[in-house]
Amino acid sequence: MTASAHLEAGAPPVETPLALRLIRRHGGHLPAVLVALALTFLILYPLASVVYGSFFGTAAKGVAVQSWADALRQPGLLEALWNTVKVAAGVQIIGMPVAVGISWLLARTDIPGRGVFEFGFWILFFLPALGVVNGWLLFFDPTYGLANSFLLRWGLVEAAPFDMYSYWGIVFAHLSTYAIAVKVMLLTPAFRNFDGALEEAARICGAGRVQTFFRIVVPALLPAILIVFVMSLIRSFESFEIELFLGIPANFTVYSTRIYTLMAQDPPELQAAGILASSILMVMLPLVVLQRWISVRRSYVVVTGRGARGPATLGWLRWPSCLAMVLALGFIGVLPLALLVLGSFMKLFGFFSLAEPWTTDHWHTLFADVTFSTALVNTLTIGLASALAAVLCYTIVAYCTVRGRSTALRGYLDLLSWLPATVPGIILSLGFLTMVLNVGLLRPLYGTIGIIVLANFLASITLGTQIIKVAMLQIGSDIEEAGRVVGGSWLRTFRSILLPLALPAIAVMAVMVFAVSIRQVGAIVLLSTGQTRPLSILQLEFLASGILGPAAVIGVILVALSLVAGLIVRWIGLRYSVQERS
Amino acid sequence: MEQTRELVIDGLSKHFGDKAVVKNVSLELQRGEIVALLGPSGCGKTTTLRMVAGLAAPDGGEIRHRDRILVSATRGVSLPPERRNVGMVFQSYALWPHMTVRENVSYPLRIRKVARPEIDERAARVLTLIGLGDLGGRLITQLSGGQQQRVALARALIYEPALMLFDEPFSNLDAQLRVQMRLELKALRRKVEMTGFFVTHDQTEALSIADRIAIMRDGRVEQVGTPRDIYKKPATRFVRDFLGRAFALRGRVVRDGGLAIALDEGAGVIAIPGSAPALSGGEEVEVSIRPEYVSVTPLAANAAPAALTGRIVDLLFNGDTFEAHLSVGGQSVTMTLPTGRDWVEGEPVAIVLDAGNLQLWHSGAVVPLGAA
Repeated sequence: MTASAHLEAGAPPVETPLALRLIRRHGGHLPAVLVALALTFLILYPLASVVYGSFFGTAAKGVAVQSWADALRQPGLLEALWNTVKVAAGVQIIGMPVAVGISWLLARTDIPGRGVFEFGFWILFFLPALGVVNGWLLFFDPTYGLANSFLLRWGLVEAAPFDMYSYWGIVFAHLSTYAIAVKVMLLTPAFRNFDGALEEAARICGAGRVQTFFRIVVPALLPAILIVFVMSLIRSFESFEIELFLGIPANFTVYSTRIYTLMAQDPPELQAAGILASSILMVMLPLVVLQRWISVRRSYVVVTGRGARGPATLGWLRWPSCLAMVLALGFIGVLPLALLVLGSFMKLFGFFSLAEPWTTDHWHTLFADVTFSTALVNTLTIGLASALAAVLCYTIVAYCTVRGRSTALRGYLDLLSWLPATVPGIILSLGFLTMVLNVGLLRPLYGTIGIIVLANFLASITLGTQIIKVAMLQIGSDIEEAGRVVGGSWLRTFRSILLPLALPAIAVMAVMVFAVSIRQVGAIVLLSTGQTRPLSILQLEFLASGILGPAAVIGVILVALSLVAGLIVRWIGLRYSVQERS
Repeated sequence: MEQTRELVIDGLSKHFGDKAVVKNVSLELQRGEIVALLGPSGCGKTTTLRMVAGLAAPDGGEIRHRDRILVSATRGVSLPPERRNVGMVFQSYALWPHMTVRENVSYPLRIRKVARPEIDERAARVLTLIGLGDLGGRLITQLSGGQQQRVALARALIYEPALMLFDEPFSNLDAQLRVQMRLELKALRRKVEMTGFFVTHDQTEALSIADRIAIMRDGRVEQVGTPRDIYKKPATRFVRDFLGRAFALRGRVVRDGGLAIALDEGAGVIAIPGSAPALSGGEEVEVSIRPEYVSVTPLAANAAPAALTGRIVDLLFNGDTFEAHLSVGGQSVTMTLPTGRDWVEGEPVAIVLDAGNLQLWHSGAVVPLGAA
């Protein structure tokens, strides 16, 4: 019997309660509002408590509260800030031109093997930094590094020229892991979309090759280069583990490692850590605003969708440049991984001169060690739980961002889900720690896997929602509307139409979140305890205490897991991405 | 206008991999003349244009401008695009997004190291000429499609290139704007002398803009001629059908005194004014004529004896006209009928063809008609 039949039968009209009426009228907004509230708390509260802590410390610890000015005069704080800037500058000044050159080669020329190289840089971006740097030690260690001993043996140098444990070692470690790779990943598609007709028009108008490149191509691509540069600058504040492992022995601290040592003290210097974190947030604020401004405004878009006609011909330079690229990728990609594997089988890490240098002992002992097996289980638990949380939550966040009813709310959600990418992991870690200590309701989370998963959840939210958002935008709302029109409820349409279509993207996202979570260091380093410590943190502890062989074993495991994840993502992408075909 | 050969394309060919996209194309341009390269997509028209511009290299043949060799595959000569002194309007406009309108337009002069005051003066002049005099300071992204189109034109005109190349310049505009731009281009040609090629796949555009049309198909030039000639007397069936509608009927050759074509089912006999000695009696041929030279009237008792008879099968009302599908001797033809009269489906009609504009086709080729 239908509702109208009820009315006709003379059922007395019931006064609907106010709350119910409000929900009926504004109920469509409710899910988005709840998501927005939860995210606001999760993102802003940790940051707020860091800033609060920088002024007032934590009352509980009984540490004397100083003024900002006094605290900044503490030895090492300003130096740590300055060192942070120095590393960022060194990495960007070298990395940016190199990445622009490589991207240009890959996107705008007929260099053989373009696709393979692009994939190579993508894999490079996927690799966990610690493992790679662990491998580099065999090559560039000041005492036993192969490069040093080679040069010394042939009498080419008087003293060992390379030292991983130094400023330049840190810069090199960044460049060889993700600093160049991430830029190439972002710039190559932008360069590829550049409309070749702009170049042709300049040639027709009378400009030569060189003039066209500098007056037309570079200025027209400048917005893309600029945004990648700003993103890289923001990302450079993220770095922590490389500096901790290579910087501490060299007495070179940056803000993030300084926060770590401050918090490792007893009692932890929460206020000083908060001041460092707040200062960095202040330095980053203009960059963050700038990045948001550029990307929202999209300035002048050079993308016409028509793409270029025929890439530039390199002529006789084709094969030499291909060879150079093979050597470069081999050097920064394959060599350190090969060394890492070697290192995991060495009796004494780096000492090739021993009579019998090889052993499988590290593998045996480590797998028998309960610390290791706990960490392995923790890593897998954290990776899977983070991926699961990502699938459940990012999908909803992305859906609300793309299809929410209110424009303002959509914009706010978009901003919220983008913000965490700009917050350095160590600051997130610090914020989460103060949050669980300060909020009574959350205190039971302290020292659990849960808090680590939560930190990972937040650390990956930008990447994750972005992937789903793009997929949902491509699906288009009409497909969903068609589902509603033929009589499906919202939930049914979401479940039987939108989800299956978005499934490849969701799978990609889950694997990426897994990969990012298992190698996560910065965002969880202050949150893990002996019981909840995953492999990445154990590896860092080994490395920091010079236990390089077992560290290499963990490095091999994490690298292998990351490679598998990368290949899965690639496979799903190739198999299901229809949109990438033009 | 005196006839001076401005550009000669001689035996041009181009392959992409195994596929020949331009096959032995030869064309000439007279001074002050715009020739449309017309054809379906993939026929090689844009590639031909790009070889003239220097953006693609031919595998065979030669392009000469007056006494300059622009490119010659046999002699191994090729001028880079910037030294050919051509202007080009791109389909995507290819305006530089980081420059203002004025900067875009003056850039060619800046490359040519023209003095600043002269650049400013000429930029102002050309912007006025195309009707964007007050938008010089705008960014490209702040312009509408039609305005961008005009800027692209101005940028190509400002350095008075020897040749103008248009690569489907209006295809990104909506229908109304396209008609307007055609008119504007025509007006512009009265003020500025232009010699060049106009690549398009839109036959109306080609017919209305060009002095001559070269119809291309599968990499070859199928026919070259003035728009009127080529429209009225297409040399191939492809040209005939590509350029517009044709009223075509098959019949058998009848020779009793003169030449005539008899249709099946007693639908009538078409008298042909001329002789075609190659045709023998009883052979099947096709008669075609542009619909404008056909008159359709209601069948009355006093119909002209030369008229064919037919019947309206389907009638579609289009507002200003009817689209009528007629059956003539078992064959179906489509005609546009005026709305002045209330036609009805099933109505018998008399059809009169203007004998002077008939063409005879035999196995896909035009049959030349001699004097009767």
